[in-house]
Amino acid sequence: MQGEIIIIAILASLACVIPGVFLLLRKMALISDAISHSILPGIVIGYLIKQSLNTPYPIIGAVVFAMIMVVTSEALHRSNLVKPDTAIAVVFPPLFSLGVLLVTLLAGNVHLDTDAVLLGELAFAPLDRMMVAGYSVPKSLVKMLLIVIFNGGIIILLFKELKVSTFDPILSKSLGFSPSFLHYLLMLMTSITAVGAFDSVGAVLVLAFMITPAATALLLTNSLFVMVFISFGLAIASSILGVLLALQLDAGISGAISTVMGGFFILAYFFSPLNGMVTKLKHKMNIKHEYALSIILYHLSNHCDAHNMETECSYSHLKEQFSYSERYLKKIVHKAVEAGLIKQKNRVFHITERGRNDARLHISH
Amino acid sequence: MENINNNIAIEVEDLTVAYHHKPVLWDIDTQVEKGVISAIIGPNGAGKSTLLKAMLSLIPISSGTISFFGSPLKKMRRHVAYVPQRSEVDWDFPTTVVDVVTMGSYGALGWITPPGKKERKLAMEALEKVGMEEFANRQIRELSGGQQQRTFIARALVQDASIYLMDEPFAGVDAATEQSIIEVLRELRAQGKTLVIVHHDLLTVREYFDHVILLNVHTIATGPVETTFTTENLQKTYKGKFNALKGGIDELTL
Amino acid sequence: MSLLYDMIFDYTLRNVALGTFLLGLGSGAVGSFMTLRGESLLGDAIAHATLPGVALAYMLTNTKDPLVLLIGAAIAGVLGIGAITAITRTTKIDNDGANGIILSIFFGFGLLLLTYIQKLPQSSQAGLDRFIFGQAATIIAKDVVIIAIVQVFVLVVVTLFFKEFKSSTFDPQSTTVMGFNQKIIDAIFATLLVAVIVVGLQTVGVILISALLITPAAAARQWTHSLKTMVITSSLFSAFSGMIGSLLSASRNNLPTGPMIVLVLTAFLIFSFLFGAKRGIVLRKIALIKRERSFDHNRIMLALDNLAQSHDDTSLAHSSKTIGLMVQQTHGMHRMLKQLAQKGLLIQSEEASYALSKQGELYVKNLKNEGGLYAG
Repeated sequence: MQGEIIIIAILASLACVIPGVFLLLRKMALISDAISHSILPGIVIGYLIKQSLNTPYPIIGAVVFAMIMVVTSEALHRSNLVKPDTAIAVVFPPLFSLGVLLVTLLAGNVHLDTDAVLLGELAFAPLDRMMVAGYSVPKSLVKMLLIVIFNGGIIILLFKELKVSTFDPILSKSLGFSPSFLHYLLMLMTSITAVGAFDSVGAVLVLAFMITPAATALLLTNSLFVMVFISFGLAIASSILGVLLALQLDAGISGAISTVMGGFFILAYFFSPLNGMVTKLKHKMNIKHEYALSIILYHLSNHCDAHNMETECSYSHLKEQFSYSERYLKKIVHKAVEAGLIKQKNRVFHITERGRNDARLHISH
Repeated sequence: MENINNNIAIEVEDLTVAYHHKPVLWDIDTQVEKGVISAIIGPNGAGKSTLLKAMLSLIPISSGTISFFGSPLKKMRRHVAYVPQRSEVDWDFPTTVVDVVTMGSYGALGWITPPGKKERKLAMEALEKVGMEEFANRQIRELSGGQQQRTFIARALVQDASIYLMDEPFAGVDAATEQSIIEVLRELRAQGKTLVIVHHDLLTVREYFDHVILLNVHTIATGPVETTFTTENLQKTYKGKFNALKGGIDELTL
Repeated sequence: MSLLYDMIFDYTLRNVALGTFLLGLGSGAVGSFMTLRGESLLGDAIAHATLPGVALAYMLTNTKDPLVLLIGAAIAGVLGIGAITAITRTTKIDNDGANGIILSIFFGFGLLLLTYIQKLPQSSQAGLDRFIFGQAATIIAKDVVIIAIVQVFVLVVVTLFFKEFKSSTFDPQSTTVMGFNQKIIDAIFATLLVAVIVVGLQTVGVILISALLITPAAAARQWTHSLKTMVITSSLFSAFSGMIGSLLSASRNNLPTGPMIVLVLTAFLIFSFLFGAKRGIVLRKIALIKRERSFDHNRIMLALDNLAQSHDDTSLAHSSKTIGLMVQQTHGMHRMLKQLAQKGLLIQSEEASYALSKQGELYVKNLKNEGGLYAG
């Protein structure tokens, strides 16, 4: 049972990550949040058709409403009535409200508990089963597997096209890959995934699953290809750890998984070799050092042949001229001496040949 | 001490601005005397806008000092006015022309104090100087590029500063607007103000400016137009992109 | 209507109506600036981010006192804004991504805590659920007081710093140069945002609170070009929608308050889009039709002038068919000719034949002076 839960969780997060990477890069993270809220009325209407969630109608209804959300907000934006982010912000609330209204009016409390729809509950997923090739498997597993295959298929077939249209839509058009087709395809993928995952993950956390691993990966690499793979890895790791965490605390699984995903993001934020804050701080120090050093070398190479060398190139003069603290100056000078760029005689500095060359390089940067 | 009669209006020393370990401006040294109209010239990506923004502490700098009449910006804000590029503002904002110009008086008002009749009057006077008084109550989104630019300049005039920093004020404006702007600038110079302007049109440098700063990540050259705006310096600044003007500087004075 | 009667005399309904009305006042004002700053979706992100604050506040103090939970929510909200700012400033992740990440991480963590709490023996769902889905129907007098205080605070701050908000939203760079520290303005603004969101959560819930801020602002924008008017209109739209929505939901036992308020807000919005005085779709269409009609009229006038010139006789009347051939149009010819005759520019003689009147000749002369059909 536990194993099945983990598998479903992994499949759900993999399914979400695939569109998630592109949504993040195309600056459409919040549209997917809006989509996941907008699908509620579609699900309810679909449910009402046959009084059951186990028909394709809820999914169809959800996709319909997701598309309504996308098309309406784009139409609003294009008509110049509102800004693009405002358009999204005003379209999903009424759709969601409609959904809640329908639930309370028509569906009662029977199967469509708002809580469950929004929050999902992975723990219950294995309870709903079906037969496949003689084996009893959870329905969610089959559903998520199909979505993973669908999403995965699209990304494998259209990776090149998606990549170009994300980074350079104009180029994409000239190459014959219609950016708007790819855009709507991505929206479709997002909608289907959101619908598919809502009962296990919950509509609200679909966003978390889509965006967080992708964002973490973005902090770790500059290559789209690598980013996708890192996202996969993070999705899998987070799912496993999340389920374990949830079982330990006896808490909700999707919440636990998003928390773990968040934890990875925070780690990457600070320690990423590419982008991390800690790394950046070190770099900043280095640039400062390098710059201070080059100023001093420049100064020495200009003034250290003259007869006022005693005054111009002395330790005390340098300190005065450049207003560095005693400690800082000592550090730079020490490094320079070690690197063979300057020599110290008594309290006066002489620049070496190497130092002179170095200074020249820096100036003609 | 705010000594506005100091001869050097702006002094930049050892200014370095780096973005993600890449220097955008490296070791910039330049001086602008009081009462000149100075142009910042350089190819795209040379750091021209960045230089203005760094001077105004709008972006973080890695090292260097900038002083206005010998003092840091903090003490001299009353005397410095900024006109950003038109594209850096949302012209769909619900406001009228006179409203925008009135914003120029906010600095003098300080926090919380709302603008009153006096500020409104100053705004109208500034609008008259740029020939836009008829447009006072026009919505800013209905303006042409030239009208927008003039509105911006009027806003700066309201501040009655001693130093004006402008980013591409002549970009995308019609000939008539360009003329009226340069007249306003010349009048400011006659009043003893100092102007530093990011400029993109090499053909008009000799005519409009007294002083020039040639920039391409480093300061290539800085000084009076006659001595500094030379073919040689331009070639160094534009590094090969200048070949189209093989005839040299004289070809520029068309 | 008994509803209106109840609104004044029924204790609960009065509180609900008053509370939601007051709520809208501050929300609409703050929302105006958010839409203009391009931060329409920030409210949604921050609303979600408050959840762990609420949960932790409960866990640490073991009370469901709204004030305590509110403070927890506020702290989480402020941290959320700070985190978003930090991410956008220090990484290559953009604003949209940062909002999405903070929303997800905070809310996910909040859900983790929430589900953990719900397993604890003493806790019950109700109080915390209120924060996710809102339950205006249970507003009591104490809540109204809190709401009122916060709204008054927000409105006072907006009034005091109106010019700073205005200038920094329009042109943050120039405003900074003038000496207004952008960070301070952003901080004040963030405080207002967190304040309205946190008090609004109880009424409409996490998911819909951003609508209370943004929708009225978008609606108000359609009616005016003045920032002051927009802010005031937005506040009023939000306030009245809140009141009407909550009254509607009270009229039938089952209707949830948040969604009703949002639907009323959206109705205001759609109305504004269509009929808004400045940019409304219907008005735009009307203006377009007018322009096209005057264009067609002018073509007819010029055509008649042409005919008059070639026949060297201005009093000769021409059939509508002839005129139609000249302008290469038959559709609606009769109607347009009649309209022009009504205006006095044409004289109708016998059967559907028209000639230029004296006034018409003058009209054509003016038209040609101004540059003809395509002038102006």
